[in-house]
Amino acid sequence: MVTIDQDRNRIAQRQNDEAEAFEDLVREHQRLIHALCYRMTGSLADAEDLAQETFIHAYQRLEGFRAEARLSSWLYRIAVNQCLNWQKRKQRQDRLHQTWSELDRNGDSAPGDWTKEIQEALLKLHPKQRAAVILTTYEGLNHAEAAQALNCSETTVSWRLFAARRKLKCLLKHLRRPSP
Amino acid sequence: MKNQELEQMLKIARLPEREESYWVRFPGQVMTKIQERAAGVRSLPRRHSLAPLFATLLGGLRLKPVFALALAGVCVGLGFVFGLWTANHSSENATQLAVVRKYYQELEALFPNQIRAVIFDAHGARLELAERADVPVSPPLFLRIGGPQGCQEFVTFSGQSIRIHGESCEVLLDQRGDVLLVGERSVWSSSEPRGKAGAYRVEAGPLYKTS
Repeated sequence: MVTIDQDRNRIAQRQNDEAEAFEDLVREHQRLIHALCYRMTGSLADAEDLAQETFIHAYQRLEGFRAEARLSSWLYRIAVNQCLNWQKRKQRQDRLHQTWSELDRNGDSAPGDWTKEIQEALLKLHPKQRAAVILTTYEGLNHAEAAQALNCSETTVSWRLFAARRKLKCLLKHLRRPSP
Repeated sequence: MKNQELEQMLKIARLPEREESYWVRFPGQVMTKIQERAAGVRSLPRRHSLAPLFATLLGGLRLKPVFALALAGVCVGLGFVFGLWTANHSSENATQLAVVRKYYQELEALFPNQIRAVIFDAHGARLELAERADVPVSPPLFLRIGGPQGCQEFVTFSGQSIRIHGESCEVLLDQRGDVLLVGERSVWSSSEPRGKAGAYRVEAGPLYKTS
């Protein structure tokens, strides 16, 4: 588990212009950020681009990082913003279908694996609702942490989650309950 | 459906896996992009007029509009590269070379097997194209030639002739990977460390190995 002090030391290193320290940070957080970007976009290619932009953006604004926050929360916020901007620019969900069809061809889907349906349902949510679900359900953030990452109040997070769950339940009601 | 049940269901959705090599490569790619952008930002205050270059290239070649537009785009790229090139800070050489490589790749994509040389000198950037796409495929070479009249830099290929301050020289790549510069009055090889070709100081090597 990375502590805030560890994060702070790493930032201090960066402020001494040590690019290697930042590369270590990228290495440590890259999977988290890729996962978030993938779930936000449903596209491996876009997730790669957005993860890259997230880290570049972070590097350029490290001076603005407040060390009382966790670095991962700060990165989440940047990544979510990148994804929301991406959403505004264009929709490239055709790549999603390409990805899943490749998975299907490879026989990579296990019986009862509803990955495709769930990802498609996530993509039908409003992007800000989707971000709230991803941060809380998949990344394990509590409402306060998610609020920090999304730059909104906890009440807003709760409301977005409520709305998102209601829609997801409707979209996924045809799926069977997973076996324990 | 209860919230807990929904949470369980959502967590079933797996992420597509990437190969381990991707995760090894990714941090380096990010750092390269950061360096490239930093180099781009540093070059912004340096402004060079591209109008004479456009006039020379477009006027001399009498091109069709579409081709002219493509060439204009190329010239913008070359102008940008030249802006970087003239920075003349040795610590930035590696970054500049990376940018040159990138633009060379774009030029090569636009004019496959047609580029004879890309030349950077005090007058700006010039592109020498063959009339047809018949330039033999070989590794691009990078040459930096300093002399009394200033510095010229080239991206060219083995077998091409270049003019160094008016003097014609042939560029050759031998089997050991050394670059030979054969002029009318002298021969220079990159195997000779810190060698001189007549009055000129020459550095040369493959574009993708020179640092």
